Amino acid sequence: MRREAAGRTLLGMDTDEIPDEVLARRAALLDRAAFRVIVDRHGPSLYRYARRMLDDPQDTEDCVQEAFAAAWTSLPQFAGRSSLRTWLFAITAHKVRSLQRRRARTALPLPFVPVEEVDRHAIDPERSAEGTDLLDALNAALRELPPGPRSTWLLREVEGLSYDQIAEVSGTTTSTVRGQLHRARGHLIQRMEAWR
Amino acid sequence: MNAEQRLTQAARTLREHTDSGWVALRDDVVAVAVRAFRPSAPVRGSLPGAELFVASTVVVARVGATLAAVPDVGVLRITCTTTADDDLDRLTVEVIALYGTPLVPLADEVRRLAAAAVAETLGLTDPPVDRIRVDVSVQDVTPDPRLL
Repeated sequence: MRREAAGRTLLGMDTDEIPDEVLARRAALLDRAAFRVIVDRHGPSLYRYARRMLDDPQDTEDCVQEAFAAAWTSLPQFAGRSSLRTWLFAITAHKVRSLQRRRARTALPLPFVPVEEVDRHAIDPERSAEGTDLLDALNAALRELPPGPRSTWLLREVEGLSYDQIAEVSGTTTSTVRGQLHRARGHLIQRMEAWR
Repeated sequence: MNAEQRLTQAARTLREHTDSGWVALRDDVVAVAVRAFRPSAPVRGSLPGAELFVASTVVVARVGATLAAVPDVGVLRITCTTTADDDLDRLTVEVIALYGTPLVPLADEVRRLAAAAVAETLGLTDPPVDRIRVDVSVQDVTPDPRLL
């Protein structure tokens, strides 16, 4: 059972095998290599989420940058009550909401159009066929959703978080999560009907 | 393919998608994040003819780096307690050990190495174990070396 006494560095190890909890506690002890693995492992998801919540590349960059800086600062206090992934999403979602509030003070918000009032031909199938693809159509449909349902759908259907985890990330209840998911799905399915 | 199937496919496509913006940002994220300030208490050290204060995060990091070389143990948490005069009162090292490892010799080695790392970091020349109180707490054991 005894391992070599060379110690444990991340060099030469398959970092995919190191559990998040181990990386988190090493990064809490100022291990930058461990933090880099955390960033590589979770950064693409956090960026993908923030990008679709903020719909602006510069805001997304600021948000993700601030989220990871906050994570680095707070890792010594990370108690592991939730998974590292959920914790990172909670920090990012908080940054997203802060940026959205900041934006709302400087610009008029776009009102959410209720599902029954959505123009089903706004995503023109002809145009879609010419210049966009399924992902573009999804992104366009997501932009029409208000932040709550949009966030919930992304966290559930794309990032695979449970209802409880989404409630924790969003600071809400699981029943609200269910309602938001139902609303988001309804809207997105309707928009996908127009896409060919 | 109906709309629901298209939505499922779109979600799958998005799940497998990495934004180009992330690829461009990745290296900066780490560089900027690790420059962020971690709140930390000062710990008084010893410097001939002058005062020396070292951030407790630095003490913890140095001890952590030293203990990373010890086989069959993983550090869970290291905490520094200081007096009102910023002298180090106590260092607590919480660890997880590999199942089957004799714990008393392991704890003794952790304690000795931690005290030596503290002494080196703070510039303390006296035998450190006598001056520095290091408590070792074995919080858990695991058969899985990846969890250390």
